Amino acid sequence: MASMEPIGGLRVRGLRVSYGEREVLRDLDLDLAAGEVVGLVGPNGGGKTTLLKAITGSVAVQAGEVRIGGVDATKLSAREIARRVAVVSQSSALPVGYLAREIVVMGRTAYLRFLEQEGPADYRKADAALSSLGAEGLAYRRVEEMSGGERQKVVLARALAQETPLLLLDEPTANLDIGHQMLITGLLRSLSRERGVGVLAALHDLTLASLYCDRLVLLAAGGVIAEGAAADVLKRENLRLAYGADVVVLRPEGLPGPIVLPLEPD
Amino acid sequence: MAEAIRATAVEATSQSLAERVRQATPLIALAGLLGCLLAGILIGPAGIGPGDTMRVVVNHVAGASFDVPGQTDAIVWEIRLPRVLLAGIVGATLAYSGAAYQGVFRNPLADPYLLGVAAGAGLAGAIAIVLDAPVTHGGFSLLPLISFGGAMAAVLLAYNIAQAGGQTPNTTLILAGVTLSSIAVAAISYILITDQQNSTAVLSWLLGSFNGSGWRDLSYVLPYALPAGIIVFLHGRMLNVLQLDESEASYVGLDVQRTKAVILLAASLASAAAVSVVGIIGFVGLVSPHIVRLLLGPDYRRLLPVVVLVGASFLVLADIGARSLVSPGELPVSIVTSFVGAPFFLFLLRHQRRVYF
Repeated sequence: MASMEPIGGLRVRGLRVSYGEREVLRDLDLDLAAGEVVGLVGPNGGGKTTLLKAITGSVAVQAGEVRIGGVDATKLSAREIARRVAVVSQSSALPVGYLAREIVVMGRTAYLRFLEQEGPADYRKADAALSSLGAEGLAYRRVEEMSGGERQKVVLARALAQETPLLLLDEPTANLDIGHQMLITGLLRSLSRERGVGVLAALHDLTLASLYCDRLVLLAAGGVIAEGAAADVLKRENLRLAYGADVVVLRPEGLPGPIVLPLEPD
Repeated sequence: MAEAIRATAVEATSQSLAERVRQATPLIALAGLLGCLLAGILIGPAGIGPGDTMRVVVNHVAGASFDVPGQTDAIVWEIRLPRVLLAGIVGATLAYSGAAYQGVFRNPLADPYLLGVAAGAGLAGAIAIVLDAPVTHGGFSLLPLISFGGAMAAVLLAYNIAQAGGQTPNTTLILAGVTLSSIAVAAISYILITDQQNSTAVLSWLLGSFNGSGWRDLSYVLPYALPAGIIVFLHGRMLNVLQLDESEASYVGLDVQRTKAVILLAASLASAAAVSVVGIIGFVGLVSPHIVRLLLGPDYRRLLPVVVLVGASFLVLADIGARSLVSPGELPVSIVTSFVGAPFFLFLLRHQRRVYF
């Protein structure tokens, strides 16, 4: 049964990463099933970004194993990884002078042979990705004329154009207003429900993570402090341990998860 | 309301005008190059008219037998034509190499001259010449390959010196390149002056010259410049993807290290071939891509063909300047390209943040 990992699945075992002397991830385990939305939460410097990078092999791993869709990630080329995993990183500096559409269509790179150029089908996919984010109006605008939120959508659209069974996102809603936060979390959920896409998203906003993710992983000091349903992870003691801060956790009835307020409890 | 509509209409017309300029640019550039080539063949101290020039060309190309004085034939066919074509090919080569370096390093200031590539190639070439190495075999020259070693050494050294904490700051890379370049230039001067006792030869190697170029020089450059150019052209789409962050380019599936290596090797081989035949010529690879980007935007697939035309025109014009400005004498061609290119470089340096590429 364990060998029947679905193509969208991700399995991380015993992952260890250090930057010089500093150990950033220590023996980290993580599972993600196809169609699951997992929220990666935890303090700054807790290892969220490093974990996302280690999964795609863009940081050196000291020990451990990453299996993407059941295949050892170190055996996959950049091209093969890009057909399985799309990454939306936190600070994407977009090249100046290009139109949004030209950036988004670069998401098709992994599907093009050496001399092949993007065809109409690739541009259709790029346009569809932009309009799924309500951003079709950006298509013919230059990236340097865009706001932070608009650029964020371009990067997201590029990842969607990759049509991967797995999506890794580092703070996908960081620059966005509440309307756009809901648009994107809604979109991620429908991708997971309708197309079985597995989503792993690092999120700062604990309430957003609680309300939209199937499962949360609380990461601090390079290790998992708690994981499971939002109600089990977002407990006061867990959060105090992870963030060193006392906060208020409310559990209103009818909501899928607790909400966390940045308030000292009385 | 009416004003808003009018504003939109104005915007629409100006957009379509920009689009029309964009579409016409390759043709205009081609026409410009043909004009420059023609001027290059017609202008010269011998005062040969267009009629005789045409006759000589038709005689050789179409096998006709128009009556032309032997001396006229020799000047047009053996001196002017190969010289002008060589200037065009070297200009094109330096220009696409510059565009390729700019793309690989994501650095708008990169160019074979400023990276130290040209001087590195020049040094390796000078050593080979002084040692009297047997570099030519029939119509084929190995000198470009020897220079290529110097070119690669220079660019890798500059890149490694400039790298700090995974970053390669634009100006640091250029500073490293310029410094390496001045070391290589000092070495070239020393070697050539002690060996040849002939400062004219040294000057024409250090500052580039098409004086005395013939058909043979074309046959030395082309076997390298043409395939290298094709390789760079075929990587147009990848050069665009490389403009993303390096890790981002890899996230979308590009083999970043291999792509960079292939383009870098091709650009360095091409620059080395150019230097090994005509010496060190500056700024062609900087100026041409920037001018074309202003007109066409950053897409390398649209950019590269026009960069080649503009680079060729630029150097043919510079060579016309080099041989007419102090007539009957002649200037090294880099003096002319530097007078145009160096102020342009300073402008880019000043406006790096605002000029968007």
